[in-house]
Amino acid sequence: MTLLLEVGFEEMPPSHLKALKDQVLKKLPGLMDKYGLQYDRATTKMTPRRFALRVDGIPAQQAQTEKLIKGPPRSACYYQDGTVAPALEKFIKSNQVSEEDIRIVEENGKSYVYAVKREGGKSSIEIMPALIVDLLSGLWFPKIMTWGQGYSFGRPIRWLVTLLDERLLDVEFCGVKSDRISKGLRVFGHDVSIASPDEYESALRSAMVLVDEEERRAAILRQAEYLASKVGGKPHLPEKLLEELVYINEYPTGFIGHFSQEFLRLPSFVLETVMVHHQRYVAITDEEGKLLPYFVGFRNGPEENISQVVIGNERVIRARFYDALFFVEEDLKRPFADRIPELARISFLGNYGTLLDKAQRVKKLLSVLGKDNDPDLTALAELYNADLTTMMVQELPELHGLMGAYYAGKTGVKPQIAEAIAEVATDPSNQLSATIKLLDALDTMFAGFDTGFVPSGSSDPLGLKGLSFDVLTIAEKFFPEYSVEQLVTRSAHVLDKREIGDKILAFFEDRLESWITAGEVRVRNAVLDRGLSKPIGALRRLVQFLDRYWTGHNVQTVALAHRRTRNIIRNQQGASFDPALGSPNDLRLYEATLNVDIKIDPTRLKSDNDLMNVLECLVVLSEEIHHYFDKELVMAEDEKVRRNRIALLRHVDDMMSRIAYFGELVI
Amino acid sequence: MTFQELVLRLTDYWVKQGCVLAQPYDIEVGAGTMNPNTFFRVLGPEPWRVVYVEPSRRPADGRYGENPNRLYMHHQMQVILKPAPDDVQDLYLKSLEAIGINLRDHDVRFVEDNWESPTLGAWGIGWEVWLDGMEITQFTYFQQAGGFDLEVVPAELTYGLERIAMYLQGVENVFDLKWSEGVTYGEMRKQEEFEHCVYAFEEADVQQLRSWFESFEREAMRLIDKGLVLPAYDYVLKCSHTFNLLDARGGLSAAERNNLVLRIRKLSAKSASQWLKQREEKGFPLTGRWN
Repeated sequence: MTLLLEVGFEEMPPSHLKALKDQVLKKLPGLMDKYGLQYDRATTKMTPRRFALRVDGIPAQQAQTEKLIKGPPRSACYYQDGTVAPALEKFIKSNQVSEEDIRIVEENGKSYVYAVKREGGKSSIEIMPALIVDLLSGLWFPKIMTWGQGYSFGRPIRWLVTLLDERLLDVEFCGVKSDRISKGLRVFGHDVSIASPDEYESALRSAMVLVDEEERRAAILRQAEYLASKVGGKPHLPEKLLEELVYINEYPTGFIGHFSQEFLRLPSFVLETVMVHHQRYVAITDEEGKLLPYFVGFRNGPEENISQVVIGNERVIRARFYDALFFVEEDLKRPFADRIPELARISFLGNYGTLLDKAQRVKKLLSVLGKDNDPDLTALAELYNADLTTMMVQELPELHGLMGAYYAGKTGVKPQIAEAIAEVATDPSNQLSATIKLLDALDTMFAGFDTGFVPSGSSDPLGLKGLSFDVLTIAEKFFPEYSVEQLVTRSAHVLDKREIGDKILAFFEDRLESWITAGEVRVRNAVLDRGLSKPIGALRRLVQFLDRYWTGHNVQTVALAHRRTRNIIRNQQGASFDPALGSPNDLRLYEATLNVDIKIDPTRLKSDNDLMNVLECLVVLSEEIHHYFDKELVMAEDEKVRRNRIALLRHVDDMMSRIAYFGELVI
Repeated sequence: MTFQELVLRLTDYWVKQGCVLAQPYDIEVGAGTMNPNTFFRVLGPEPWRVVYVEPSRRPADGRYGENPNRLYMHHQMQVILKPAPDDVQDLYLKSLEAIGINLRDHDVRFVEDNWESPTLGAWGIGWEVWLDGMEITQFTYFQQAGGFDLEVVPAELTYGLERIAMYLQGVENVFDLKWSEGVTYGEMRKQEEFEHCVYAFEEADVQQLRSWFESFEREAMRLIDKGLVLPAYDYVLKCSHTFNLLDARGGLSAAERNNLVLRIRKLSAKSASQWLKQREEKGFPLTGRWN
């Protein structure tokens, strides 16, 4: 038999449709199994208003199974005259079988009562409704909503079609009772009655809905190509836009629109932002990739009376481009660098002054990375926010950065600095933009923490979690030798905010953990022990390395030694080791530490080879530690001696902890 | 169709759907949602149906009356249907037909847009409604207001009246709209646009606005603590408008904007909580209406 389930809803965004499909297909096999049904294959179709699932090859009935359940010995179940004793009655009742299902089986010369329990065999028609409700319940959406009597789904559900072959299944979900009536395209379509799963697609086609997404995709591509060729161009149709067009139209019909040549004076990223992101139009380019004054739009409906639609869309784009051109021309009337003093008009945060003050702080923070007085960096620190004073960016804030780069380039700022302006707002590709983005993020973190916006739970109004992520990611790529501790304490020093620095460090402790997501948990714990003081560039490499080798003999030797060491110094006192007080064993261990000290350097872990070398040193040291613990009683009677040994072992722990707390790794 | 006729026809349509015809609020607001007829009435279990026009001030959007599409103040037609009826999308589409839009001649679509008002602690799920590529309505299933999950989910429909009128009249400049048969939109409003823009962009005194903000905030807090929820809320609205003026002066970075928004949100949440308490004490008097 074939199941057809169509869930009809109000316009569901593409991301939600995707979530729905993925979950249904993932849940289905387990559910079918749970309900005792087989099937051959499952396929889905989606439009903005419907999700259809078709499952082929479902048997008419559940498979029937027989199970033997062992009961009491026969002697306990029957009186001598053969009548039934209470023990058997109880057994029959508790297993929900009848007397006919009872068998006697000989086992090792004794007779037992067995019950034959039959399960399954229910018809699929009977089972399917519960399965469907189960399938649709508890799904996750990027943004879940509630409506009506506390129902929740991606968007309100308005109809349900549930057919098993020709039979209508009786299902109710989110207050909607199933029927065989589906809805056609808004305005142009009509309600259709679906006779059987096989007729689903054709029935909806008659109601102007193309349920198959591949068909819509092909139609959109074909029409975009054709319409663009009519004006001698090619469609600029990025996959993301195509995907969106497929899932926001049930019956896409393309049309070509025109806009005035004069708007081509706008930078192409402005034109594209408006056309693609705001209006979901396909831009058209000539052979060399230059934009032409046309676009392809899609109507969700037929060709009929489309002229009004074209006129309307052209009006919209004209108004938007008209504004943009006005803004850009106004903005270009002054050299970009002249805008720097205007940053003083924009207040930054609380007591942290204006964006001009922020620029000054970022300049001072250059010393954190040892780059004070670099002329390019100083210039960039003043310029990277200057486009926030322009009309165009006030209009389309998402152009911050790109717009600044454009204006800077047009009005005499050095090209590499102009380009870096765009990268500070997006992804740095070099030291110049990376430096400013990193310092900007640190400055905002200080301001945020100082003003009381410490992230807690899901509340993080300034997006400080994201900024902390930026700091780590940029440092890993461009400043791998720095530790979080160095970055934060040096910034705290420059900004004269030591206490805030401590709070931020504590916050980073947490963030490091979610930053490094890969790897075995105890490997992460080992590496992140004192993680703030390790070079950021080494952290991920260490995790990857230990992930591969942590169960091996070498790491285990080190792990055991490290754990023994840390256990014994816990809660003990002893500050510095004095060789004059040491026993021969103390001195032997001391010498071992001196031999490896400079080799255990986390700033020099550039490759797996470096890591192997460090590991070898640690193994040598660990063998000495084990030897030491075997031969020496650390907790000596004499307090001076005891403290001296604790100090020695603390030194050993510190050295090993430069890499990781290996004790976490003991199997 | 003149601007005033558009208002009349839409109003008439929604009154026939059982909406109470309310009036604009008499304090500056940025949107119809801020009118107590929406912000408070969507809270709690009581049903509610209302329609009203809300003149909505967005100082940052002003262009001295020189831009054909931009206004310091525009008019919203605000409709609340609580609970949202099952056929609310169809009801909405019929309202477009009621103002003479033949849907078969156009492309009307619901484009994902989840509305939120950070200052009101309110958000919802829904769409922008596009008419041939132009946004004409915000359509939202409210999920939260004043930070409270809504127990009865309303639909909020917010029509942008100027845009719709421009489309219907086929004019490219808002000031050329016919307000009535004898008077244009420009004749009604252009001077007002100009003067308010001069104030918002040039004359508004940032120090003064900052200090008003602080005073309004204090007053709102004081009144909330006394249980005078509606007067308190008036001062929340004043905070919000003052904040908008500061923003228009270009005087707020993203971070500082967040800071002030959070302070207003705190006041909105307190007002909402007081309102709910009062309604509960009164036994939710509108329960059972609109059945």
